[in-house]
Amino acid sequence: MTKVAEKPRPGAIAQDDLVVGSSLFKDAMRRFLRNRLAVVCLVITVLSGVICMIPHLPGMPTSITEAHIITNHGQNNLGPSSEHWFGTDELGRDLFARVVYGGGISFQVAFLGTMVSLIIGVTYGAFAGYLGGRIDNLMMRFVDILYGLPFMFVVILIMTVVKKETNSMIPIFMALGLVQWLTMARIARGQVLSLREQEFVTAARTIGASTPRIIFLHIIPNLLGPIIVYTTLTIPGTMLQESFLSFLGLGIREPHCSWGSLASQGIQAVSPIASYWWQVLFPCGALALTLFSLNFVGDGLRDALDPKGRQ
Amino acid sequence: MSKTTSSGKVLLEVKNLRVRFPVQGGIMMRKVAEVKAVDGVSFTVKARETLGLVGESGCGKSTTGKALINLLRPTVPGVILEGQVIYHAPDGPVDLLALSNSQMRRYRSLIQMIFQDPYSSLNPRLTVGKIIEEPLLVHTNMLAPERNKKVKELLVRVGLGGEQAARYPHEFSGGQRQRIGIARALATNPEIIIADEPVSALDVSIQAQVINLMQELQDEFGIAYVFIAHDLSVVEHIADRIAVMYLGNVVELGTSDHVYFEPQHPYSRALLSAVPMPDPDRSRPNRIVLEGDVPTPMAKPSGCGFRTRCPIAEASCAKDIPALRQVKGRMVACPLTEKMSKLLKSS
Repeated sequence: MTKVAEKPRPGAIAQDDLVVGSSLFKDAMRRFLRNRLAVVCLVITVLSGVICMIPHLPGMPTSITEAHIITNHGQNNLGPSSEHWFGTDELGRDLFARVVYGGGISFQVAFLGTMVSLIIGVTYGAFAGYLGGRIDNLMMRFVDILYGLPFMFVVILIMTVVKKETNSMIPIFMALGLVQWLTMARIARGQVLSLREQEFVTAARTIGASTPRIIFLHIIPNLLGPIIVYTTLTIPGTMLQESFLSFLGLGIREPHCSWGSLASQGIQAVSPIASYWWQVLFPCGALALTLFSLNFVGDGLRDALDPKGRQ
Repeated sequence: MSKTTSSGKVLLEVKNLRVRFPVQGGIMMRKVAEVKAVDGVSFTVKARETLGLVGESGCGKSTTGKALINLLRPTVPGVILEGQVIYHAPDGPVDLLALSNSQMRRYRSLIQMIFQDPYSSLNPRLTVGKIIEEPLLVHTNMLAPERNKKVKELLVRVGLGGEQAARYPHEFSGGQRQRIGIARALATNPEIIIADEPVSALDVSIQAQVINLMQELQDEFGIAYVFIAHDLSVVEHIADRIAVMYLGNVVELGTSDHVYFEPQHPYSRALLSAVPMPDPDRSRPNRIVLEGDVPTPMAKPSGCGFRTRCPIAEASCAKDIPALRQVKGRMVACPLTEKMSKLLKSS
């Protein structure tokens, strides 16, 4: 049997008395850390996230939080210099402050929008898949109908209806989350359909566990792999959509900014007479670098969590 | 190993159990046919005894096991369950099939199940301790320290160390995982355990260990087993009585010595003549090779389900489904057992 009663042989690795289980998650971590590109990209993502979030933290001195809205007459459209690292825009605002601040907005929208879609989508999909039969059919047809609606139309509708009353970012989370959860629900349901046939689910029913208990304790934890992967791939998608909306002038409004709205302003400043390239390059570069890193982190996670890729 | 004497009271009475699954087709998903997975099965399980349920794949043994424990209804839409499964619970008899899910919950602690696949029957995200603890959480008011103590006791009882509770299922071998599954089934002190092919996924040496463990636990806790298997030599070893199933019907039911050593129904004879004998000196019964395939349970033959492959079938076999009758100390669902004996003697 498995009792470790014998004394450690010389040369053998000392067996710890304390038995600590190595969970599937720890194994996945180990595999992820071996993927160098993914680790580098994770570092870049975390760094850019942390830097961008600094001006948004509560308790920051107003000199930092308001740097991006302070206009300086006579300093408009200056190129990058030691004083203004990324140059200034047409109102003389420091572009570095605006890129950092706008990045924070982009990150917030992307994360919160994804979280909204994650919570709604996974719960919805898990219930549909587990309950099965007619309920599943009904719930998924509803998803299909929502899928059929043109995404931009819905988002523009929400944005224009809610926009006037409030300047907050809540409508944009709603709009993005509302669309993203559909795919999440489909992925979760597909996984649940195969999971619920597993004997440990039958075992839980034999024990007499309630349906919510089975779903939240036995089904959803086993969905984590695909869900984490899809989430990390959804975050850049949401970020891109937010930028797109802002670029169209439907997202973040002045005086606030995000990477998308900065790029939009930068493009308008490009003219045949003078090209203020830094106003396009820096926000777009920051966005591209972050999206690129997030996608590689997602790929790395997918490889790490795929049980077939185990060594 | 001593087999328990089956003189105890009747725990479970299965009366004319029928399970039919709808087959849906077409755009409207209308019911186009039915699979008669279990077609009128009756047997009893006594306290502290082991009833073996044998038969080839698709004969309805696992479905019967699941129906006994009321696991079919919510998962399979449109499933039709008929008949009665009377459980003589400590507080009076109750028909399990008539219970709603919430009514059934209080009996779940008394009727447990051991599963076939030790890999898929344990949740990979939970530690072994949490897996074994779950029935205690659902059915008892024990506090955390009591539960931990009980989990450790159970682990030790099934032959794993109590310190293994912190490990995850994927760190164990198949046999060890099956022991964990047994510990989970034991947690609430059940009266009946339905073992659905508990050893068929294990290697032979491990099979013997798990079977022996199950027998020890039976002696210690007085559990009755419904042991579903297709490996006849395993069933013969553990079971007090054996029910042989074919195409959703019980064709022979008797003590394991009777059924194993002198089967009477033509199907059980064929099944048992196919069991490999490791002893070359032992006289080998005449090998009966069945022709053809098992008919689909969607279109069962009229009358006796076995008549299409039976070596002694007569025209009368197509008329009625043969009832179980007493032959040489056991129940057999065939009126022509004499003819079979003669046929075997002459060959």
